[in-house]
Amino acid sequence: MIRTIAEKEFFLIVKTLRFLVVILLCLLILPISVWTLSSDFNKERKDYFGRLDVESRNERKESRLNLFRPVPSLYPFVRGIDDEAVNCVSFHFRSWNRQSTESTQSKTHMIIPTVDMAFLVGIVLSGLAFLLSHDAISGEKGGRTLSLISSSPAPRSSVVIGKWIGISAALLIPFLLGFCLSVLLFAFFTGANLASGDYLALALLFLLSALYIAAITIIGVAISALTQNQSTSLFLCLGIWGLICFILPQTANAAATGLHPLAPPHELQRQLRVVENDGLRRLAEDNMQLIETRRRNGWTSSREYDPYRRINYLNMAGNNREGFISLENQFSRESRIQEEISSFASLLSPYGCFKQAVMSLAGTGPDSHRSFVDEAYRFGELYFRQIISTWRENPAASSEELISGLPQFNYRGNDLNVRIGKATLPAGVLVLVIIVFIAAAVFAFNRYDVR
Amino acid sequence: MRNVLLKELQINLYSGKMLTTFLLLVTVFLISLGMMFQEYQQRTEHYNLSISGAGKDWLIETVWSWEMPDGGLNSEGIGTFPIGKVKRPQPLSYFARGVDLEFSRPVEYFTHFDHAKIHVYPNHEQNLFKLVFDPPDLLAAVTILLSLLALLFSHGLFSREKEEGTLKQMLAAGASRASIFGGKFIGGFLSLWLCFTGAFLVYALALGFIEAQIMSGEPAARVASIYAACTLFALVFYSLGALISAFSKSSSTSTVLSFFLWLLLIFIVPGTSSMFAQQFAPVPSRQEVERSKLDVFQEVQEEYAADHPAERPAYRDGVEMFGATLETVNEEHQRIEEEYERLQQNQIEMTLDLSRASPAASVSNILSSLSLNGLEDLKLYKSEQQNLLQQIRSQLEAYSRYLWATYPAWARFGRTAEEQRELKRVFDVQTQYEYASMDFDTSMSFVWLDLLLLSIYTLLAVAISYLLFLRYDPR
Repeated sequence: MIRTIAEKEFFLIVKTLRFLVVILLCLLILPISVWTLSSDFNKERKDYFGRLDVESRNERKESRLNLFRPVPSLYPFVRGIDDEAVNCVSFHFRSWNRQSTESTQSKTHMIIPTVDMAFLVGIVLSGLAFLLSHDAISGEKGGRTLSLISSSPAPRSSVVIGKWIGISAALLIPFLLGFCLSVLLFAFFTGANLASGDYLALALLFLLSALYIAAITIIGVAISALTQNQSTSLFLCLGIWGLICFILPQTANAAATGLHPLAPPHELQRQLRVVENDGLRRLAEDNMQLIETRRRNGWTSSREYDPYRRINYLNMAGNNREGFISLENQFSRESRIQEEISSFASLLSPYGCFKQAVMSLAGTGPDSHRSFVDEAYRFGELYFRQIISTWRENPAASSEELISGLPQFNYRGNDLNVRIGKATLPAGVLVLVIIVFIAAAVFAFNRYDVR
Repeated sequence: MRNVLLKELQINLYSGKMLTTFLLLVTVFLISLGMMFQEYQQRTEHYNLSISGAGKDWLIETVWSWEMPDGGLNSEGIGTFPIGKVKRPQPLSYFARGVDLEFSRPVEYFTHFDHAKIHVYPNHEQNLFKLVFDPPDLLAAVTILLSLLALLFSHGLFSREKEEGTLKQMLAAGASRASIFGGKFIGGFLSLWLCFTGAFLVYALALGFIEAQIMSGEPAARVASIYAACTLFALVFYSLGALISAFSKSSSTSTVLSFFLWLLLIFIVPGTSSMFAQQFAPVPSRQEVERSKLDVFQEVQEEYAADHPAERPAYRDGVEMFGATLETVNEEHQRIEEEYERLQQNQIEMTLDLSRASPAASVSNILSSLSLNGLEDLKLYKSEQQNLLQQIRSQLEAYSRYLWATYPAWARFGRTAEEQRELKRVFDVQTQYEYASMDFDTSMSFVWLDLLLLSIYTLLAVAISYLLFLRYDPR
C-alpha cells in the first residue's frame, strides 16, 4: 500500500513545474559548481606541491620549518571553511609559531557567497523539499480528496509514509543523477588522484544528503498534516525553513559566545611576544655574564667561548618553545570549548547537523583544521626538541648533522574512519528528526476528522 | 484606481498579512541586531587591545657583541615586532559585515634589510564555527527575508483574481485595466513598504540607542541611503512577483515560479558568478607569485655573478652582491606584485559585473559599500597598510641612524634612556595611525551603477507585467 501511494505521489510531482525546477538544479547547477570547484582544487593542489618543492630546498631546516596542509580531495563538493582556515604552520627555532592561510580565492566570497554541493542541498534543495511537501496533506484537505483517501482501506500511517517516500524520491532521483554526473566530472577534471576511500566518502556524502532531504521532507509533511489549508502550511514551511537554515545555527554561535567568551585574537599574539621578549632579555643577560667570564678567563679565540654562547641561545630557544606551547594550548583549549558548545547547539537545526556531517566527511570543517594544526604542532615540537638535544650533545654539529634522521611531515588528513566517526552524531540526530516527525505527522493526520 | 488601491490595502490589513509581516520583520531584524551587537562588542574589545598593546610588546635587544679586528665593537641585535593596530570597527557594520573579518585580523608589520613585509594572521584561535555560520546582519535579513516577503505580497496579485474570477467582475464593473493594475500594484507595495518602514524604524531606533553616533551627520546619511536602497530592492522583487502573477493563470503556478526565481536570484546567480569569473579571469596563486619573485631574485644574482666571476665565493662578496642587486630585484618584485594586483582586481570586477544579473548582489554591494565594509574599502585598507609600513620603516631607519650616530653607546647591552625615547617614537607610529575611511560621496560613487540597475530592473518588470496584464483575455 505504501508503495502504491509513494508511486502515485512521485508521478504526480514528476508532471508538475516544480519537478522541472528540481531537475534544472540537480542536473545543471550542481555539475557546474563541481566542475568549477574542481579547477580550484587542481590549482590549490598544484600550489601545495609547489610549496613542498620550495620547502625541500630550504637550506636552513635546522632553524626554520614550514608545514603545509594539502587541499582535501572532496573540496569540490564541500568547501567548508577551507578558504579561510589555516593551511600552513611555520616554525622558527627561537621564535613563535606562525599560522597562515594561503588561498588562491579573492575576497569576493565575503560579499557574494559561492555555491557548492553542501549549499545547494543544505539551502536550495531543502527549500524545494518544503515547497514539494507543504501541500502533501493540506492540499488533499483543500481539494477535498482526503475523504476519498480516508475511505480506502489504506491506514493513515501508510498515507503519510507513502507521501513522504514519494516526495523524497522525486527530489532524490534527480539529485542522484546530478550527483553521479558531478562525480564523473570531478574524476575527469581532477585526474586519477582519488583513493578508494574518497569514493566511499562520496557515497556517504550522497547518503547524508538523502537523509537530510528526507528529514526536511517529513517536517514539511508533518506541517502539512497539522494545518488546514495550503497557504498556511506554505507560510509555516517557509518560516521553519528560515529558522532551520538562517537563524538556529547562527544562534548556536551566539549562545556559545555568551556562555564561554574568548579573549580577542590579539591577546594570544601579544602574550607570545611577551614570552619571546623575556627569553631575549634573559639571553642578553646570560651573554653579558659570558663576556665577564671571557675577560676573567682571558679567552681570545671564538672557539673558546662560542660553545657557551650557543648553549645560552639553545636555553633561550628551549624555554621559548615551552612557553609558546603552554600559551597556545591554553588559548586553543578555550576556543575548543566554545566550538564544542557551538557544535552541540547547532545540532538543534537539521541544517546544522547536515553541514557539520558533510564537512567532517569531506575533511573541510573546523575539526579537520584543528586536527591539521595539532598534528603540525606535535611534529614541530618533536622536530625542534630533537635538534636542540642533538645540538646540546654536539655544539659543533653542522646543519646536515642536526637535521639528519629527523622524520618527514606527511599530512594526509584525517583517516576516513575518523571522519565517519565525527559525522555519526549529526547523522544520528537527522535519523532521530525523521523518526520524531514521522510520529508527529502520523499523529496529526490521525487526529484529522474528515467529517 | 484609488478605490482598488484602498481595497488592496484593506485586504492586506484586515487579513493580518501586514501585521504578520511587520512582526516577522521586526523579530528577524532584532535577532540580527542582538547577534551583531555581540560581534561588534568583540571587535571593539579587539580594537582597544590592539591600541593598548601596540607600544609594549616588542623589542630590539642587543644579545651579543664581539671585538672586530680593527679593535672596534660589533653587536648582534635580535628582536620582535609588535602586532599592529587593527582597523577601528564601524558601527555601520550592523547593516552589512562585508569584508569586516579582514579588518579584524591581527597584522604584523616587519622589516628585514630593505624588505618591508606585512603578515596577516588568520583568526585561528577563535571559534571556527563562526566561519561556518556567520551572524546574520541586516543585509542577510533583507536579501533573504524581505525579497521573499515582497514576492509573497505580489505573486498572487493578478493570478488569484484570475483564478477566482474576480478580475472579470472588476472589468465588467467598468474599471480600466490601467487603474486595476496601478491600484493593485501600488496598494500591495504600499502595504509591504509600511511594514518594512515600521520594522526599519524600530531597528534604527534600537541601534541608535546602542550606537548613538549613527544617528547624526554622515552616518545618518548612510543609514538613510541604506533604507532607500532596501526599499528599491523590495520594489524590484515586488515587481518581479507582479510580473509572474500577470503571466500565470493560477496562483499555485505563480507560487512555484516565484520561489524558483527567488532561489535563482538570491543564491544561484550570485553564487555562480565568482565561479565563472575564476574561469574567465584567472589569477595566479600566491605561491606562483612567490615562486616568480624567487626566480627573478636568482636570475638577477646569477647575472651579477656572471659579470663578476673573480669576486666569488667569499661571504663578503655575497653581501656585496646582495646590496648591488637589491634595487633591481625590488623593482622586479614590485612589477610582479602590481601585475598580481591588477589580475586580482580584474577577477573581482568580473565577479561583481556577472553577479549584477541578480538584484541581490547589487544590494549586497550597495549595503557593504555604504557600511564601509565593501571591496573598495578592503582595497583602501590594503593601501593604508602599505602607508603604515612605509612610516614604520622610515622610523626604524631614523632609529638606526640614531644608533649609528651614538655608536659607542650602542655597542653595550641594554638601552639608555635616550634610546628608549627614540624607540618609543617608532612604537607610537602604530598607536597613532588611523586608517582612512571613505567619505560618503566616494562610497556613493561605487554604488550608483547598482542603484541604476535596480531601477532598470523595476521599470522593466513593471512594464512587462503591465503588457502581460493588458494581453489578458477574460473570456
